[in-house]
Amino acid sequence: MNIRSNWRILALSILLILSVIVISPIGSTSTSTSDSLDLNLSYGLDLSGGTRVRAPLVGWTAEEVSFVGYQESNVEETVLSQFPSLSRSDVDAKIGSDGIGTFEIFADIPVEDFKLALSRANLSYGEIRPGVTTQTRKTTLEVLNKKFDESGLTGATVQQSTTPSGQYFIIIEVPNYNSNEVRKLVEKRGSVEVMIQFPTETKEWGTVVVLTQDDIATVGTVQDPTVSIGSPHVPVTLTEEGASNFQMYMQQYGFSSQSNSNSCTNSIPRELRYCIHTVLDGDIVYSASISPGLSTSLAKGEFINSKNFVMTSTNRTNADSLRLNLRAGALPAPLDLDSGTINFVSPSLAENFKIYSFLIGLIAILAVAAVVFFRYGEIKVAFPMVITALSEVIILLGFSSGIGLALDLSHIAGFIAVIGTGVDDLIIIADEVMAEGSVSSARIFRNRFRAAFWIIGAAAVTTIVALSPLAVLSLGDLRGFAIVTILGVLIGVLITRPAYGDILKLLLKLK
Amino acid sequence: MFEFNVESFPFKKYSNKQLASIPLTLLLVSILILGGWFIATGSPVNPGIEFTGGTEITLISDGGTDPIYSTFNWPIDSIRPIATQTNAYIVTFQSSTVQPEQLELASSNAGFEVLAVQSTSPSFGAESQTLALLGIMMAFIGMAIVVFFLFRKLVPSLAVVLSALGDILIPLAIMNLLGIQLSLGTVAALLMLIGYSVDSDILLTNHILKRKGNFYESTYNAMRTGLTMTFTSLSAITVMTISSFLFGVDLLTSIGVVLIFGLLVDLLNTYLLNFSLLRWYVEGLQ
Repeated sequence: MNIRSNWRILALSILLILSVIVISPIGSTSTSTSDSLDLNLSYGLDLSGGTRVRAPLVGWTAEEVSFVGYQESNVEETVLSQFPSLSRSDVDAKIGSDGIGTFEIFADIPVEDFKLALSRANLSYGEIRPGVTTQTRKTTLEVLNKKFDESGLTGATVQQSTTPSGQYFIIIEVPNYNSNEVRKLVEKRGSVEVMIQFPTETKEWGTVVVLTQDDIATVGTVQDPTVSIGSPHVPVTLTEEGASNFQMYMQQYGFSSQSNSNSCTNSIPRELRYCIHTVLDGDIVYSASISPGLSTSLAKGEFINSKNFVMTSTNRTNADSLRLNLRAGALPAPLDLDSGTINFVSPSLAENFKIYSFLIGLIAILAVAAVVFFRYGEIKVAFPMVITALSEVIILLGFSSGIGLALDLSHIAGFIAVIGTGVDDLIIIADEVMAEGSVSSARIFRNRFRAAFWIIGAAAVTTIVALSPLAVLSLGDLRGFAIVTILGVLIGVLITRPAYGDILKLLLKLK
Repeated sequence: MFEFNVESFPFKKYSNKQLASIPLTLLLVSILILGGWFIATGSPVNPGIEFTGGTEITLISDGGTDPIYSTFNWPIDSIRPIATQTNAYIVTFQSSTVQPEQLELASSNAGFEVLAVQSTSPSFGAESQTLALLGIMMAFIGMAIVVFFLFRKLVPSLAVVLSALGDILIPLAIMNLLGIQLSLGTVAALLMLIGYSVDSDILLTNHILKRKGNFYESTYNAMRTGLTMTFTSLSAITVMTISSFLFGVDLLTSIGVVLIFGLLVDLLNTYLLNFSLLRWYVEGLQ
């Protein structure tokens, strides 16, 4: 066998062997033995189970806001005063070095209200657009990653994608967990605040936020109830600045006075209580009195030395989520889960899908084999045809495994499309080469092969051009389908289908 | 071994107009159906939940379908059983008022085991629909440009493009009539059809225009190969469709159904429409 004239067969064989090595269980690091299809392939949600959430971030961004002469916190307060239902974390002024920057509001409000609020704050602004800034999206991705790390939902991936109309989506994929578990973790921002409540002369009672997530330096592990603290709690240490602000507020509003400790109980009228509230996403989740010990430490001004604070919760579950939120931080903007997509496939159904799609692929190949054997009646023509079509899929699987492509149902559809166009092309080659009786010389073979190759090449270019928009557009499942089909057609036209021509030449004994 | 007895096909008996009239009538009727659909529903096709927004939930209900109807207080669009799994059903809600978490909550309260949830918001669906249309149009235009570039002759190129147009529009109309919704899967199928369609058209055009020898001989040669191709694809896709329907793999079933119609329609478009246009073109050359 002449290597130079049969290099395509050689290339096909090498690629095939490489692919088999790559996808075979030997090359796999997985140790599970129960799985009958334990190939070294990675599977997407459809075939492994899990949840995918795609959601935009809620908010409006005013561009080119001139903050010259204003202070960040003042500006935020002023705009916020127009929206009684919103809190400090719902607005964000990002001021550049030249005093020009962006103003974001993270709430689903009418854009007119936002414009009005900016005008009332005497801010000049350029364009107002839906969505948030790049920086906010980046922070969101970081916080989401931390949330999944802390929560033990392993293997989660978080990324962003953009549509041609310019809308950004956050895409979260979590293998093996259902949509409720994922939703619970991301539907709220997870902002934790400590708010104090104290009697006042003018109003019924006053409240002030004394700590936010930014004031917390380190977070300990959840502690079981003790003699002094009657429920599960999370010890934290505050930052230098957080501790000094905290001490200042507590002294100012009377929490450093011993007589006001233990006064957050039902036996005392509400307007006379001194309470420390743990606030999660705007809701008070736990209220407690100030302990005499903390009160003393504040009175003596020693608190800023220790900086230790304890956040208390009602039960273990809430304490766990409190710790998680403290460690991961709050999402800068809420995810709008009702404006995107949610997909969940249970691991058992996904396992079925995986087995079924392999079976369906196998059945399709068998059908192809039956028809070509029936049609050509000659094993020399039909057998290599089926083997070549099969090897295209195996090479494609090897390639997918090599680049770590997570296979989904859409990719399986792509494989089937590849088998389809592949067999079509092989039929063209076989028919052209064997047209009108025997192929008497290598020269005739070459001419005929060239003619066949023009047709399959032309068809391949058309298919690739037709599918390439979908490989770029972010159209969910269709992207995977388009990419696999294009890759398959390329591998087919460049390597496997020409190799089939060479195999035919060898088998038909041409010199 | 069998051969397609293509020589018995009565090409010579019928005029170009007669041959072309069948696929052209089909194309026209399809355009009318799609147009009528557009006037009646505001959309030329029946968009599925991926495009309108809505939720599809796959669950196991041990008591059959009755508990499903009594559990959900929202309008149910369809309930389909999965053949290979007892008591498993795919329940579709096309209403935008119900959120997936409500459905999941109701399911777990009723004791259904939720196997899968697929939910799309109306706004995201509308965007996907625009994208899908854009994708199909770009694919079609791209295909047309390549075909013109390949043949560099107006009539033969137009014949291929027209045949591909029929291969997309006629199955779309059939989908409407059969109540098959447009989903991401069926869009993928329509795009695959562009590929399959052009395959056999290029083969035929290449044989007729670029080969020496008798016109009909070239046609029959191309047809023999083309029919083998289509017949092989059809058998593979038919078994794929039946098995994926039985297994409840929706995506592959919807792709399969559209491909089956498309491949059958492609036979008409290639060997009646494209052929007659080519014959008319070749006769004009002589």
